[in-house]
Amino acid sequence: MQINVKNVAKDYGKRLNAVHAIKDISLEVEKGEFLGIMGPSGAGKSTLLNMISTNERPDHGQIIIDDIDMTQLHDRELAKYRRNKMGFIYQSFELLDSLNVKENIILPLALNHANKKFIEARVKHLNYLLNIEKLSNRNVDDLSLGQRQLVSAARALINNPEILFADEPTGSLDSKSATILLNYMQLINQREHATILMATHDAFTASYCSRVVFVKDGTIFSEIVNSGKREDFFEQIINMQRTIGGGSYFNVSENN
Amino acid sequence: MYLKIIRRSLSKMHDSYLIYILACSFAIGIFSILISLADNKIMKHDISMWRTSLVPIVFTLSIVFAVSAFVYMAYVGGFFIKQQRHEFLTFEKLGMSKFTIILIGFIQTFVIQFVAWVLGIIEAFIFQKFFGMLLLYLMRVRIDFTSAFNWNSIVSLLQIAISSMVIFSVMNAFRTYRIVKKKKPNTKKVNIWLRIPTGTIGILMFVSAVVGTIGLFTAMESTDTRGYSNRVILQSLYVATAYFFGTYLIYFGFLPVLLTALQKVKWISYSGLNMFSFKYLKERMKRNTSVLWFVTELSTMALMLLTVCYFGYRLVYDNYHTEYPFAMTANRDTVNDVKKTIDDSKTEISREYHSKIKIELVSSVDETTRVLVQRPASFMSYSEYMRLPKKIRDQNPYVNPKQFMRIGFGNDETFGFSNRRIEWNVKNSAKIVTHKNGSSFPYGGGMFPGSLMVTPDNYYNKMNTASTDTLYGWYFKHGDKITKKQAEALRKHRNAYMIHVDAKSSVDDSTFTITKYNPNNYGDNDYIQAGFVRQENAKRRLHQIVGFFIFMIAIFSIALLLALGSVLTLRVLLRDDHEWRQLKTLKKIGVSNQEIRGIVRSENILTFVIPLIFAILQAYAAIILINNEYSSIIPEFAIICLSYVVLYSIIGVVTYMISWRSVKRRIN
Ligand SMILES: Nc1ncnc2c1ncn2[C@@H]1O[C@H](COP(=O)(O)OP(=O)(O)O)[C@@H](O)[C@H]1O
Ligand SMILES: [Mg+2]
Repeated sequence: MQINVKNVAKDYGKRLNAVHAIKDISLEVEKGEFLGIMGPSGAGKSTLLNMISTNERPDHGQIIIDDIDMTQLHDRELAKYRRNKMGFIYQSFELLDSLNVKENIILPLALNHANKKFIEARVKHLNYLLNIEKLSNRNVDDLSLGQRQLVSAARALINNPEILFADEPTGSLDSKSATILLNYMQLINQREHATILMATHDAFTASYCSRVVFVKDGTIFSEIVNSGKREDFFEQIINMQRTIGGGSYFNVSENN
Repeated sequence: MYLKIIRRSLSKMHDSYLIYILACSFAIGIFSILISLADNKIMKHDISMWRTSLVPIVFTLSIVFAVSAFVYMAYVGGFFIKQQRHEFLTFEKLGMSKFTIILIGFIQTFVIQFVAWVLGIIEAFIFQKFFGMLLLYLMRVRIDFTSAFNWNSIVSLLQIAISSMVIFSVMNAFRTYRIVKKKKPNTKKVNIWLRIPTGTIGILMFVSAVVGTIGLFTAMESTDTRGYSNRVILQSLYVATAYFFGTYLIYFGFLPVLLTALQKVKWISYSGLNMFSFKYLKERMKRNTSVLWFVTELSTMALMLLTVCYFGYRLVYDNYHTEYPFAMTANRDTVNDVKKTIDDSKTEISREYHSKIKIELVSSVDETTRVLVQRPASFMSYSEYMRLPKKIRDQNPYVNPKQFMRIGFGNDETFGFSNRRIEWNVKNSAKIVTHKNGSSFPYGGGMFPGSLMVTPDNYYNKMNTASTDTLYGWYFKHGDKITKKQAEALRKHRNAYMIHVDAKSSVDDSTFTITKYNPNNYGDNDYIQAGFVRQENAKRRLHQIVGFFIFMIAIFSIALLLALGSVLTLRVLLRDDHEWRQLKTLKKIGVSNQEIRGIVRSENILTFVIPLIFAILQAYAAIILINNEYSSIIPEFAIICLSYVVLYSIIGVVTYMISWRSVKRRIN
C-alpha cells in the first residue's frame, strides 16, 4: 500500500459559518493504482486531493505515503518529496504567467537542477506527445483554457512522477485532447506503475480508472472497481451517479 | 453596501495603510510642532537669537518639510488605488457605475487622510512639550517650556488639514477615474531593444561619473588654495548630472537587460528557481523603476543634508574653539579692573595681547532693513592685525597689506555670508569695498558697536579721528576661574561708554559724541562699547546654535528615513493579485518556503541595497561639489554614510521580516 489516508477532516472558515469540506475520510491506495474520485461540485474532491498531495494540511487525521507521515514532515522535506515524487495537474492550472509555455513546463526539472540536455529531451518528447510544440514560446496569458490545461499536464508529467495528482484534468479539453491525455496517463500508469489520483465529475474520464470512489458532502459514499471492460465500468459509474445525486448535479457526458 | 466595500478594502490592506498612516501622522505631527515652535512665546521672549536668526530658519524648514510631506503623501497615497485596480475593474464589470467607483476611491482616501490628520494633531499636542523641552535642553537654555498652541496656528493647521484631505482624495478619485476609464492595464511593453541602448548610455554615464569622482578627489587632494578652477567645477557639474540621469537609465535599461541576459543563459536559468526569480525580479523592477529612482535621489538629498548640516555645526564649533579661546577681553577703560579680577582669581593666563583701534562713522546698508544707516565702526591697521595671535587669524581669509577685511559677528560667517560684498562710506576717508569677511573675534563680537575693519596701514594712519581705544585680550589655560562674586563685580563694567551719532544728510557732516553709559538715556542713535567680554556669553550662544542644529538635523533625518523606509516597505509589501498568485503557484508545484523566502530576500536586497549604493556615490560627488573648502571630508562622510547604512539596513531587515510574514501567511 502506497497511500494511506487515516480519518482526515478539514473545515474551512470560522466557527459560525464553517464549511465542513471533509468529514472523516479514510482511504487506501495501492502502488500503481489509477484511482478516480467522483462527486458533485462542492463535494470535497479537490479538498481531499489537496490534502493527499500535501498541499493543505488536514485538521485531523494522518496522510501516510510510503510509510512517511506527511502531516509531520517539515516544510523543506515536504517540498523535496513533492518535487521528486509527485506531479500535479490543478483544476485552475496554476501556471506562472511571467514565464512562457516552455519555461512553465520545465520548471519542475529546473528546480531539481536536472541536466540541461535531459530537460530539452523531455520537453521535446512531451510537447510532441500532447501536440503542443507550437506553443513553446507563447505567453501563458494568451492561451485558451484547453491549451493551458495541456501545458499544466505537461508540467506535471515532465519529471515522471511516481504519484500523479490530477484535479479535473479534462475539464477544459475537447474530446480528442482529453482522450490523448487520458491515454497517456493510462500508459504511464501501466508501464511505469505510476500511481494516479484523479478527481473528476465526468463519467467518461472516470472510466479510465481502475477504481472510483464517490464523495458526497465530505464523506465517501461508495466505491466501484473496474473489472476490466471500460464500457461496463462506464455504465456502473453512470448508475452510481444517478443514485447519488439524481443526475442533475452531474455533467453526464454520454459516450465520447 | 458601498461603505461595506470600503470597509472591506480598508481592512484587507490594513498593514500597508497602517504604515502609511503612521508615516503621514508623524509628518503632520512634526509639521505642527515646527509651526507652533516658531510661534512660541517663551522661545521668542527668552532666547534673543530665536527672534532674530532662528525663527526664519524654522519657518523655511517647516515649508521645506511641508512640501516634501505633500509630495510623499500624494505619491505614496496613489499606491493604494493602483493596488485595487483589479477590484475596481471587477466592480465595473459587475455593473457598478463609474461614478460610484470613483466615489469609493474618494471616500477611502478621505477616511485614511482623516485618520492620519487626527492622529498627527493629537501627536503634536502630546509631543509638543516634549520636543520643546528637548530643543531647550539641546540648546542648554534653562527655562521651562510651556506648550501652547496659539489660536492662529490651530486655525491654519485645520485649514491645511481640510484642504489637504480634499486635495489628496480628489487626486485619488482622479486616479480611480483613470483606472476605470482606460480598462487596458498600462502594459505599454518597452522593447528590450530600447532598453539595451539606454542601459548602455546609463552605464557609460555612471562609470564616467565614478571616474570623474575619483579625478575630483585627487584634484582636491593636490589643491591647497581656496577656490577651484572652472575645469573642476564643470567636471563636478558633469559628474552630478551624469549620476542623476545615469542612475535612472541604469534602472530603466541596464538592470532589466542584465536580468534578461542572465535568464537567457541556460546553465544559469535552468537551475533551481532562477528561471522564475529572474523574471519575477525583472517584472518587479520594471514596475518600480521610478520608485527606485525617487528613493535613490531622495536618499542622496538626505545624505547631503546630513553632511552639510554636520559641517554647519562643525563650522560653528570650530569658530568657537579658534575664535573664542578661553579668553576675556577689555578696553582701555576697564583693563585695570578686569586685569585685577583675573589676577585675584586662580585663572592661569597663557597669553596676553592688545591692539589699537580707531573709531569713526560709516554709512553702510543695514543687512536686515536694507536702508543706509550711519553708525560708528572700529578700524584696525594691517600690521596691528598681524600682531594678533595666529590662532585668531587662522580661520579668516588671507589679506595682503593692501586689502581690507571686515571682521563681523561670528555667526554671520556660519550662515554662508563669507563672500558678502561690503561697501562702507567712511567719514572723511576713501570709500571701502571688499569681499573679504573674517569672523568675529578678536575682542568678541560684542565688544565694539558695528563691525571692525582691518585696513592697510596708510589708510589707517590717514584716518583723522579723535576717538581711539585699545582693546586687550587674555588667553587662559583652562578657562577663567572667576568666582560668581567676581563676575558679579565685573558686571558693572559691562558697558564702557556710549557713542551717540548725530546723523546729517552726508556722513562727512555727521558727528558723534562719546559719553558715559547711562541706561536711562539710551536711544536709537546710541551705540554701546562693551567694557569687557567674557567667553561665557559666546559659549552660551554656541550651545544654542549647536543644539538647534542638532535638533533640526535629528528631526529631518528621522522624517526622511521614515519616509524613505515606508516608501520602500510599501513598495515591497504591495503586490498585486497577479504577483500573489505566482508565489502561491510556486508553493503548489513544490517550491519550499525557504526558496520563496529567498526570492523575497533578493527582492528586498534589490530595493534597498542598490538605491543606497547609488545614493552614496552621488551624495559624495555632490558634497565635493558644494564643499570645496574641505580638503578631506572622507572620515566624516564615511561616518554619516555608515550610520545611514545602519539605519537603512534596520529598516530593510524589518521590511524583509514583515514582507516574509505576509507572504508566508498568504501562501500557506
Ligand atoms: N479555500 C476555501 N475556503 C473556504 N471554503 C472552501 C475553500 N475551498 C473549498 N471550500 C469549500 O469546501 C467545499 C468543498 O470544495 P471542493 O473540495 O473544492 O469541491 P469540489 O468537489 O467541487 O472540488 C465547498 O463547499 C467549498 O465551498
Ligand atoms: Mg474541485
